[in-house]
Order: sequence, then structure tokens, then C-alpha cells
Amino acid sequence: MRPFLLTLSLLVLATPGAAQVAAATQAESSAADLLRQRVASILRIPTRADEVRQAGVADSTVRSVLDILRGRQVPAEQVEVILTAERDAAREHGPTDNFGAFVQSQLDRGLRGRELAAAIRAEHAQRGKDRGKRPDSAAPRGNRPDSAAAPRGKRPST
Amino acid sequence: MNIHRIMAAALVLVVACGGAASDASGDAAADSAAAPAVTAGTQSEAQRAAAISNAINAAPMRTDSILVAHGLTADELQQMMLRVARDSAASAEYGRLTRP
Repeated sequence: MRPFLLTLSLLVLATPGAAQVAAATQAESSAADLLRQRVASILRIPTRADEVRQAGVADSTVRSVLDILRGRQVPAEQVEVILTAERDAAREHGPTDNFGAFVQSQLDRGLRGRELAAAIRAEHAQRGKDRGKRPDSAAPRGNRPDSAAAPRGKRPST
Repeated sequence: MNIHRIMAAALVLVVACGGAASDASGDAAADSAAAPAVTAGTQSEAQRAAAISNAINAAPMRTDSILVAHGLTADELQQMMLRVARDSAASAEYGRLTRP
């Protein structure tokens, strides 16, 4: 009888312990996955910023946007969404002069992720249309001296 | 006979729990041992950022231990990458050094 009781108590002790270990291992694994995803986004930030510059956005604008994102402690995934949307929109419609202020206003409104990317694209599309209506739309962009050498126009997404 | 079977099952459970715990700590030890050494000093921030990026991209499963080896948290890494991104020359150098 005594060995039976001993075994039973061991089983009672071991089963919840095994469940706890399994739960802890799973939690650890998903935390590690989240960290890897976050770090992967972090590592792409300089490349995305460079692509935004190459799409014709002024260096001073890129710096200003990055300062806003740093000051607001925007998560890396969102930083990547913003920079990628700006890169694609600038390639398609040309850069806008107010990108920093626009991003700040959209963040203030609480826009994130796809909604924010869509707002950036819509802003560029609207500005592109407005630019097309202006008689001086073919004139060189004299107000962006630090982007004068940057290539512009459509490029395939990477 | 039944008692013996139950005892054997209990032993298997206990051993399995202990084994899982020691496996987890063993993996962590192996990760930290395999992590690259920190090579700060004469490197520019872009070079350091690129070295970290290349190490992580080569072994994404060891992201955590690579950050530890470089003395960085994820937040600190993000601050570093934002500084590199802010500087057009540094981000271009980073791109050149991390290009596959």
C-alpha cells in the first residue's frame, strides 16, 4: 500500500509540473519568435531609409521623419511600414514636401500599420494629382537641393 | 504488477521533466558560447551595425544571444539602426556591408 501511495503522490506532483514546463517552453518560444520578428524589422531600417532617399525624398526630410519616429518610440515594424510606404509612393508619384509633418499628424490620429501606409499612399497620389494640375509641374525641384542628385521614377519593389 | 507499472510511469514523468529543464538551459549555454565576440572600438557605427546584422541574419535562431554578446537590448539596437539610417553615408555603408 505504501509504494502505491508514494507513486500516486509522485504522479500528482509530476503532472502539473510537466504542464507548467510545457507552458513555459511555449511562452518562451513565442517570445523568442516575437523578438526575432522585431529585430528583423530593426535591421532593415537603414536599408529602407536609403531606399526612400533613392526614391527622391530629400535627405533632410528622411532625417526629420526618423527623428519623429525615434522621439515617439514608434515600434520597428511600424517604422518599416512607414518607410516602405513612403518609398513606394515616392517612386510612383514623386516625393512630397510635407512627409514629416504628414506622418506626425497621422500618428497623432492613431493610424498604424496598413491604415497608415494607405494614408501615405493617398497623400502622395493627391499631391501627385495637384502637381500635375500646376503649370510649373515640369520645373525642376529647386526646393530640395539635397535630393537633386537622387534618381527618381518607378523602380521595382524589393 | 500494476504498482510497478505505475511507479515506472511516474519515474518516466519525473525524468522527462528534469530532462526538458536541463535541455533548455543547455541550449542557452550553447547559444552564448557560439555567439560572436564583441568587436567594438575602431569600427564605425555603420560597420558595427552591419556586423550585428550579418551575424543575426546568418543565425536568426540565436538573435537573443547575439544581442547579449554585443551588449545590446532590442531597444538599443533600434536606436543604433535609427542613428545609422539618419546618416545617408552611414546607411549606404550599412547597405553595402550587409548586401548578400
